[in-house]
Amino acid sequence: MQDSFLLIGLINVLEPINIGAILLGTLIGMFIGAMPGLSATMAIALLLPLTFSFRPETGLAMLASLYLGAMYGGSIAAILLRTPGTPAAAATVIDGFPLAQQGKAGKALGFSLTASLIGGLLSAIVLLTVAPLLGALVLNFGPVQIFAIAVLGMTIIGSLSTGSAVLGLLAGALGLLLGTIGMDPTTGTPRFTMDNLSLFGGVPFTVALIGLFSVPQAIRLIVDGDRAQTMAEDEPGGMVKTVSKIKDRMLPTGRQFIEMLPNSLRSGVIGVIVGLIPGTGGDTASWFAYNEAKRFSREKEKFGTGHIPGIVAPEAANNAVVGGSLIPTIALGIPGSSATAVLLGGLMVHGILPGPTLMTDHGAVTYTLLWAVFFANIALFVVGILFTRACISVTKIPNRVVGPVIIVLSIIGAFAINNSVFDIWLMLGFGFLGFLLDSCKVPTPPLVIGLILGPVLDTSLQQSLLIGGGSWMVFFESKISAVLLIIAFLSILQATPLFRWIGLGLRRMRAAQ
Amino acid sequence: MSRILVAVAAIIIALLFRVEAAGYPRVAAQLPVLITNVMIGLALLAIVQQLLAWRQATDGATRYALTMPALPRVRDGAVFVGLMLLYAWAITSIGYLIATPAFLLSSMLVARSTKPWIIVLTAVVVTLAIWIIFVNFLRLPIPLFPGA
Repeated sequence: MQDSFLLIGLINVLEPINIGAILLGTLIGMFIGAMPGLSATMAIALLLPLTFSFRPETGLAMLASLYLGAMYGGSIAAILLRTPGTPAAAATVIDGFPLAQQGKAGKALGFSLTASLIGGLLSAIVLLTVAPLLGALVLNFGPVQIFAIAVLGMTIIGSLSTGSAVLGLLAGALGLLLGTIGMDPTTGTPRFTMDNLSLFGGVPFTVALIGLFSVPQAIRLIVDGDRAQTMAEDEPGGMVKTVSKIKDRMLPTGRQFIEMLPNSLRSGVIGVIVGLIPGTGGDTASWFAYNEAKRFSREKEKFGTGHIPGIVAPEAANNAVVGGSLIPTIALGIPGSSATAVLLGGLMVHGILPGPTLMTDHGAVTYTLLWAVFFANIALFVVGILFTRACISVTKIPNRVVGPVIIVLSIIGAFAINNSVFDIWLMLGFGFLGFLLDSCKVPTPPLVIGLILGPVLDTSLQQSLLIGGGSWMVFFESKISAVLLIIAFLSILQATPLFRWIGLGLRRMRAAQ
Repeated sequence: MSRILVAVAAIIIALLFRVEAAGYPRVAAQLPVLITNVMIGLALLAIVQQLLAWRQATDGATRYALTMPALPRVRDGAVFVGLMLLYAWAITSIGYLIATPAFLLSSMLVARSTKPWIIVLTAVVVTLAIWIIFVNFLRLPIPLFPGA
């Protein structure tokens, strides 16, 4: 069955319309990623309404390519302007910008692109092999295990998110609570709808996503203006001149390619593993890979001065994260990051509900998506070689021009989902909520994941309690769910000071002895 | 201080949802009540963590302070949010083709984004591009003119 889906996916993805969507997606993603301050997640959320009219596989292929394109696009601004286009490109600045200042911007971008290709292809191969295996395993799971997986996913995402773990978990819980808005799946009781018919079907996930990721960004772009760039010039160390032209050769030579291969593969593996862990993302992977590249290097002192391995490592890692984070998203229906949550939103827009049956009930579409990730990496390399020079002009667009354009796209996009004016206001409401949470340093990705997992938890909880005759012990009768729930409980505990207190107590006891 | 405010707001939201859920059948209220319990617990934990952090802090009176952004930034943000809300209202009452360029022009001019001719050009190009993609290509039934 899986082999036939694998073949159907490959045939689907090779259709001219899907190849066109992949090329267009990588191109748009690259341009958006190159704009400082615009994230890959926001790019997918904003362009999601555009894919409505496409067939599901075409729309999803475009969104996945956009994600990959934005990951590489982020490095363009990082290398040329010392301002990472996406958070995942922050580590690229350290060696990318000094190399560009030495007049080797093309070399820096070429190595970044090649490393992205190696890391991306590696992760796509892992995705194509591991996701079906995991998907087959998960098929044996019932509502009890699905509930436990969802709880575990939620707690890990909350406790590993940036900033305070408690606030991350709190944001996740808020997302879950908002996810319960709408008709109760068992009794049909409308919950928290304030008698508004538009909310009976629940909070439209894509509308919430557009608001949460676009509106806060647009407000920040207007408020901060082009401060990010000017700050770089004001920093200690004197005047920093940004680079506005690529004059040298981009592609590495055969010998250089072989030399960069071990670092790229190691960083790619790091990216895949980090991507697999829910709640971590491209930024964690790229810093991790950068540090490992430095640790393994014989020329540690060269890092930070425009050293090629310092560009290769973070770029291979952040593109490899894409495939890694898609594994739990596709196999379990639990998104590993906010970007994959938006991709799941793309599936939902086309009436495909995420969950363990994704690889069987919607096998053709899902496997097309898996193959699309593979081909998007190749497309990114081609598009990158052809259009990186053109991307430089995008990096010069003032932030205060981009901000209002984002709002227009968000409002039109929110309306386009259900042709509903209510959705525009709901999107803005979520936008302001996202801005407030950002301002108070509360991470928003757990909230988004909570919104997705709310209905999953709701249905699986009610089914599990029915199976268990109303007893909560049903979750501990299955070994799998018991273990998963214990891990979830431990991940909540590690967010509290309890472990620290236990550690302190043990140290004091040892000292007293 | 922002952490305390977030925690208090979370407790209020959780209590509001809990009160509302009290009127639902037991099955329908089950998960929302469970989540509100978790939310209240986490919010109290966040408050305790903050109080402990304050107790250990050494910077005296300033430790309770809220960091307020500079006034010009607040003003720019407030004006932009106001224009955004006005645009959301206007798009369905006066139509996309008037509301959109008006919003783009006003927000970019107020924010002094770039040169005036670039602002006008951007407003026209963006309005037309979105119109072509969403209205012509995707057949989005958005009102284009007043009363449409």
